[in-house]
Amino acid sequence: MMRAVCWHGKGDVRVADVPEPAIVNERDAVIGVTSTSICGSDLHAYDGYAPTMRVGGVLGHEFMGEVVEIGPGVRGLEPGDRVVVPFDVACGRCFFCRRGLFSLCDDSNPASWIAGQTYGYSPGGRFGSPEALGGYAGGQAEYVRVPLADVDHVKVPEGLADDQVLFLSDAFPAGWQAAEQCGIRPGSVIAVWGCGAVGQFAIRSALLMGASRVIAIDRFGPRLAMAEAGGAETIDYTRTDVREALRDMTAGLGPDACIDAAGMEAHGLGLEYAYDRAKDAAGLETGRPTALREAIEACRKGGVVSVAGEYEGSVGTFPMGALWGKGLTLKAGPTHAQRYMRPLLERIEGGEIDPSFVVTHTLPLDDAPAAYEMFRDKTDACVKVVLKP
Amino acid sequence: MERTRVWWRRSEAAERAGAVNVGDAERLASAALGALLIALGLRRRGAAGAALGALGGLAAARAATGHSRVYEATGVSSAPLERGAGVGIDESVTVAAPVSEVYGPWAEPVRLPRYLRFVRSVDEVAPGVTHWVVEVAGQPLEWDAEVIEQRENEVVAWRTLPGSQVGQSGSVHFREVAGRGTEVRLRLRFVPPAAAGFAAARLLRRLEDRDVAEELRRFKSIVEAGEAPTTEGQPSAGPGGRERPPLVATAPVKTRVEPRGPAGEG
Repeated sequence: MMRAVCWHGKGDVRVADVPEPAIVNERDAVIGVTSTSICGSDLHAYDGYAPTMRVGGVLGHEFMGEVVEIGPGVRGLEPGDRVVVPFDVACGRCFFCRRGLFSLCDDSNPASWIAGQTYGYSPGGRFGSPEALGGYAGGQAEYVRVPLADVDHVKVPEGLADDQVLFLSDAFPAGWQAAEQCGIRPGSVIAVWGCGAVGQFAIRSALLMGASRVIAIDRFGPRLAMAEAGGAETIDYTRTDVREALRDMTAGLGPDACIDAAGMEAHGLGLEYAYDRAKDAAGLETGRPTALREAIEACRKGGVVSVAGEYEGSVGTFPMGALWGKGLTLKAGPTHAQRYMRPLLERIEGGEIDPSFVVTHTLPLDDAPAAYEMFRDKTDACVKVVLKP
Repeated sequence: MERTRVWWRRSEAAERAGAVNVGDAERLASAALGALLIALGLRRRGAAGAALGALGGLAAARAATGHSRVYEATGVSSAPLERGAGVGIDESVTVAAPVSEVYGPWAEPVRLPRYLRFVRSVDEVAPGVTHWVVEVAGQPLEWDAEVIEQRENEVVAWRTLPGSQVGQSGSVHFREVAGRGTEVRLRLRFVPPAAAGFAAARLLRRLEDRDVAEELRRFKSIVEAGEAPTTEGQPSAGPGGRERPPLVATAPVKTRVEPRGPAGEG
């Protein structure tokens, strides 16, 4: 038996003893977890925004550790290797993986028929996810079975601490991809909604790519302070009208690209937010597109809106007229972590960035229920929790 | 996976609007319910009585005509398959592999049980003749089949020999499309012979197009990834959930994996 963080319903995660995983398929590996984080998308399950979540399912998709066992089909990986595992399960060989679209892998989601019915085609599988996204037992546990492990890992050198490389699994590539989608050129001005871990990495990625200015938008002081430490200017949307502020800060032109790093559970203010909350609470919607709407409206003409925050189902009051009328490009989607893990590891090794800045709390796995609550409520200046099994 | 055209055919007549789509047992039940509601409606007066009577009338009409509009709208039928009527399922999938890798298992169907869960076994019983045991809804169906058309990397077509439990014909066509992979189009036709009666017919009705689509998806995964990814048997603190039950409870396939170069190439 092993300890694992299991989902039991809205606002109900429990640390339980569950059976240890075993090799099932030939390309499997079993990883002994040394560090795992709580991600914003774990909160979607915690807050009841993840239909088809299985009761008792093991949570967590951002994790790293040591290989303890490999299947006979795994090449290039040995027991004892220290690896970070991408949150998205990918086969590396299908139509999509061959194009670098790893999180859209066609073969890694055993329950692809579910999303296939509503989305037309299904994304790939994820760890610690609802069944519709594969439902693989997650990384907030002592051990994890990693399917297709020959593709889904990056080896990390001993010289780097867990906190420096753990976020190669999800948050760092997510922020990087969000910035990459903006088509940043020298002089670009980028606005980022949401200063959680993905937003923080998007800010730093945009600056690494040559953006001249990044403007970060949030309501939580510690997150805005972290963004400023990373080189961003900030807007506290509870004190300032965001569209007016962005217009003023860019001398009337508007940001070249806007990144939504908040997603479907964005907070907001005013009548529209109250309307979103009410529709959301009534089950008429599967989210609140507060940040996305503002990003579209604030973006300069001909600019790019890059959506890194997670959405599902449908959202209403989507400003299609502004998107069309201003000739915007909308880029969205889950992160292809496998595409970025190795180049980003090189940047970490080269000292260009140290992702450990984002960690505000390190706790034992058994403290997960309290950690989820703290992370949801943003108390104690919480940005990122790392759990130690 | 690209689904092209799917249909579920009972007979030409059954596809017409207003056809019988309620089984005999259900028609009897509808008649009884209708009579009861009408009787209740007559004993009560006023709007409630009228409403009960009207409901009873609907149930009675369902019994008399054997037709349910709700069933028609939702594509459901509890009427028995008519003699000579069959089940036809067409599904397709694009496999990211050269046609030579995709064609092989269909040219040698004894290899198919590894790829398709509902094919329990295929044995060559005579030159050109194979004995198939297929599982539908937990029940075995068997037939002997002969290949009637075969062109390498293009098509395999077969039909059952007389005396089989079900009449079955099928074909699978292959087409390699540059930049996309190999398109596989599977066409299955089942005809329960009159002699085999309703048992086989009832089973075939439970074979859904989605089951066949899932089988093809599994085939594609094994060709592409070397295995069919699964969450069966993984750690959990709960009873599981709403996972769709597998057609056949089998052990997960263990296959040999050919190294095919680094991830993300091409």
